[in-house]
Amino acid sequence: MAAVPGDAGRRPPTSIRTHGRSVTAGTYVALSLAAVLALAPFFFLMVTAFTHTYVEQVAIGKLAHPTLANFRDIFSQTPFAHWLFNSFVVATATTVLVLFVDSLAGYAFAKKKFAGRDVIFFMLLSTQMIPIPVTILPLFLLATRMGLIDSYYALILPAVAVPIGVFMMRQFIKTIPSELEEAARIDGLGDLAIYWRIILPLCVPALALLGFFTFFLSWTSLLWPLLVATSDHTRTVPPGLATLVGQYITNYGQISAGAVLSILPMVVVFVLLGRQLARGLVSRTVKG
Amino acid sequence: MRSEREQRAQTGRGRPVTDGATALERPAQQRAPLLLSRIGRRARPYGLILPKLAFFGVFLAFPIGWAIELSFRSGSILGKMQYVGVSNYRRLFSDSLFRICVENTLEYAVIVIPLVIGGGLVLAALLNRPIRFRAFFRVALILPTVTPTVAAVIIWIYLLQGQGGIFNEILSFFGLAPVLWLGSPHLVIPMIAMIECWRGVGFYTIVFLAGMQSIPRELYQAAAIDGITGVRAFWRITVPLLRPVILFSTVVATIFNLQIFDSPYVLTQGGPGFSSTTLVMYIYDEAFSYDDMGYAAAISLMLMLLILVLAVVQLTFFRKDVEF
Repeated sequence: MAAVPGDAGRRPPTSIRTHGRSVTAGTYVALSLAAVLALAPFFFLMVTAFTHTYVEQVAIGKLAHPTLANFRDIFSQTPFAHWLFNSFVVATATTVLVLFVDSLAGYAFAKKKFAGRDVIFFMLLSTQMIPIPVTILPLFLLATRMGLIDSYYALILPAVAVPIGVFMMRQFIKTIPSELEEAARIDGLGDLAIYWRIILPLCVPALALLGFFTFFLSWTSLLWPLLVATSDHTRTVPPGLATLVGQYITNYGQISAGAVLSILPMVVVFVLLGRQLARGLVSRTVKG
Repeated sequence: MRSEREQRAQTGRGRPVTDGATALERPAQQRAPLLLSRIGRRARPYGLILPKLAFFGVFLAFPIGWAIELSFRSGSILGKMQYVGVSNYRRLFSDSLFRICVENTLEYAVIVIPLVIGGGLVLAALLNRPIRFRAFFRVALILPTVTPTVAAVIIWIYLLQGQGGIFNEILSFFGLAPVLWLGSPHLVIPMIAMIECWRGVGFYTIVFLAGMQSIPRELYQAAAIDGITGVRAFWRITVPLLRPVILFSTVVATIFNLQIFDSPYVLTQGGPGFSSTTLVMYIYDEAFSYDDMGYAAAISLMLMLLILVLAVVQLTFFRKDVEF
């Protein structure tokens, strides 16, 4: 492999390890630039959140004296604690329900033979292209008639209907060797026991991916909560933050603190699940 | 119960080994002398999918049917909605605001989709090289995606504001006049599209990276022997093998971006005038500000049609290319 000019000082890359692709400084420059562009807005957000500022100007100079005043104020002056609690309850409940319901159905679609299986599966999947706004209007009428407006149910239940998770779980469970299942059946395990004790533990990467995805969609959802979470008893963080934007004089410091707090859980979950997510994603793109 | 299990286990093991898979299935069939238990066994897979079907039926399939029915009606949410035939659809053709919203929505999509797919491919290819700090770069790039849109938009309101915003501070540093980034009808969609690219590119990068990591390394080694490396390997190995993933991602991006709502809703409320109003915002307004569910339903079905047509076009267009 020809050495790249200007690469002389460094250890020459072995052709097997890098399989013919040399990592030049250009790669690092491009990636660093992308990372800076991705992260710069967060830098300014943090500066605003941690400096006491009502003025509409980024005051980097004030960073020398960081303060938690904005974080204190958003909890004492707005119902942010309520919103945060509601978001946690709704996102967690949605995720648990979706994981259970989708993995159960995914197991049946992957491993069972029954009349109408492919028709039902196709029916589920074909709705994937239908945009959310189409169902939102009837769902609103439905929620009104069922008396679910301003309740957690209205925020949780419709999210469990989304079919993509069944597809993800089916694709993953298909890769689990059927011999395992048959051996368990010989040992006398029923369908549910096989699902719970054999299938689920082997599905962790797919469950992590689907769980992250579901939690993320619920945590960041704005349009549906705007409609049905009509009071602070059920209002979640995104519609809550939206009410702070442009209300009176926008208090950037305080809103920034709220934004930081709303980002934090997603970052924590992503870092915790990072490895599992990558594995779930690989198996999905390869075998899907 | 226990003895039954043991019995089943024994009959299973007692079969000749040469019988293979059928030997394992047979005991279950033998154990069903009663019609009732046979029906029970047949019904069991349906039990497994029943919870999903229940949620799906009540909260997705039924509402879709209802939306179609709604689109033929007119009237207030609380009052009685009368059957008005196709008049909602007829109204669409003469509604200039509907046309503006379609154009705006398509303009977002046309800017955002190529940039996030192209940018995602390039960034994933760079990340797929044997580099250090890959984990850091991955987290950095995905951070805008996992940020709630409202929070992300709050940052950008701040950066783009007329006085004191970073963008205008930079302009004034070079002695240029400040620009109303979100207040100018020509700039507002490109600016929001830029924010959407910033939010979206990390997601496609991660998806493409996962796909690239599944490409056998031997292919690159073999190509390297023929002198094909770097950019040429990217075009001749990575892109062709990743085509299904790229196609899937493009369809997803289309479905997703034509439904843009959150960022213009919080950033501009669709303004100035209607220059950043999207179809979903129009649906929202018609239904909940002007209390015309029927018309809103008709618009939403048009959006569905638009998404369907574009997805089918992409699928057929790309698929022709895939066959070789």
